[in-house]
Amino acid sequence: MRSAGRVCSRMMILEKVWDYQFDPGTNIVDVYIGKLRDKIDEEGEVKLLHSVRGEGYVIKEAP
Amino acid sequence: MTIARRMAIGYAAMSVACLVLVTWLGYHEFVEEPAEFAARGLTDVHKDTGAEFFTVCFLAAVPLLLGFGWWWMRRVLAPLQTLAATVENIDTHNLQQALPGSAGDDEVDKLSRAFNSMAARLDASFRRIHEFTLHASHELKTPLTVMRAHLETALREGESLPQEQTTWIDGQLDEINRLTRIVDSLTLLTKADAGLVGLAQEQVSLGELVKEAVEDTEALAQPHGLQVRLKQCVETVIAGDRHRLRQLLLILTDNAVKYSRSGGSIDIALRQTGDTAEVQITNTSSSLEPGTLERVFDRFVRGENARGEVEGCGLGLSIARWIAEAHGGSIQLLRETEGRISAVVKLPRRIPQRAPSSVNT
Repeated sequence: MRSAGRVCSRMMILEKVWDYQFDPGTNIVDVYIGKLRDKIDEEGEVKLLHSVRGEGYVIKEAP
Repeated sequence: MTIARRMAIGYAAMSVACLVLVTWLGYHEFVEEPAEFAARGLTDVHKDTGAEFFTVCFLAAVPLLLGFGWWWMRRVLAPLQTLAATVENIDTHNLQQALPGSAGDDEVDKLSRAFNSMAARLDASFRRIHEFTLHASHELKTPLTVMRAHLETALREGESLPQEQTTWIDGQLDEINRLTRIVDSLTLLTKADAGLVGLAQEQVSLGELVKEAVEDTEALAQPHGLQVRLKQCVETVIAGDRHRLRQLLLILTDNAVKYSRSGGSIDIALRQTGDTAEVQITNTSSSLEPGTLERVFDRFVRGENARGEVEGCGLGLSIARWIAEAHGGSIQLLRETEGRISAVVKLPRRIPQRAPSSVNT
């Protein structure tokens, strides 16, 4: 939640979460975000995980 | 002195020596001995002296000449053998190493000078290719970054853009990302070729990396309905570069997911035999035509079935091979039974002193 409201690129997420220092060339981030979204946003009234087209993902309360 | 002259002089010397020997023997046989016999009042027991004499000379001279010739040839041609052995060890990485010349200014010396100048020209060409690829990938990166930034801004600021246009921009961004990945991979491989990529030397738990890879593979495989099984995992610690080894495993597991038939399964195993750790990743694969199995490690080579259907550019396995070989190990694809294909990586637990630092294409 430290980065709430900040758009995180896939590469940033890979570096911080996976500690990958290279572009793995897979859509692994998107797959995991999908899983997270299932867990967090499935029931919630306010969606938290948003994708920013072409850039990455952001956690925020606004739609 | 040239070899031809040395050989001529050697053979002349040997012939003169033979001639001297024969003359001396002849003198002894035909002049001294009859005189001695005559002085003692004896008759020569050898009736047919001439024929016997020549037989003896022939029998003595032939092995002598053969032996001397063999020894002389070996001596004279020894530098050629050294040269051949050195030339055999030449590859793209030690081209600048000068070949040893022989002591004199002879044919072998000329030959090694010719080889050296050829190697120098080849080395220069290889360097030009490397520099070209390095510069090209560097020059390509900047405009790609600029293009991506422009398109991202357009998407962010153009909220009122019609759906058609945003879809188009999305497509362009995907292509730019793909191109960026190709350029990055090419840069990495070119730098590796030039020996510019250093590897960390740390203690890496391969078991941990494999387990992580299995988790990632499960996430990637789930949408395709593929089953991922960790068959065996013997904890093995090897010396190497943690990030590169993770990259190697991810390239292989990602390939296993991409090229599996839906409903298939992926088996991952980590074994240890002696001082070698072995990772095997097996997947049910759509057919890979014979002959492609070895070539897929070459740059931009992909199985026919992969073209157009599966995302990728044909550089992943080249990088995988570089990582394995830079760790002193090897990688191969094996055809298993029932339409399965295995990728087998063998890594020594310690990196040998002279591990190749790059890939040959």
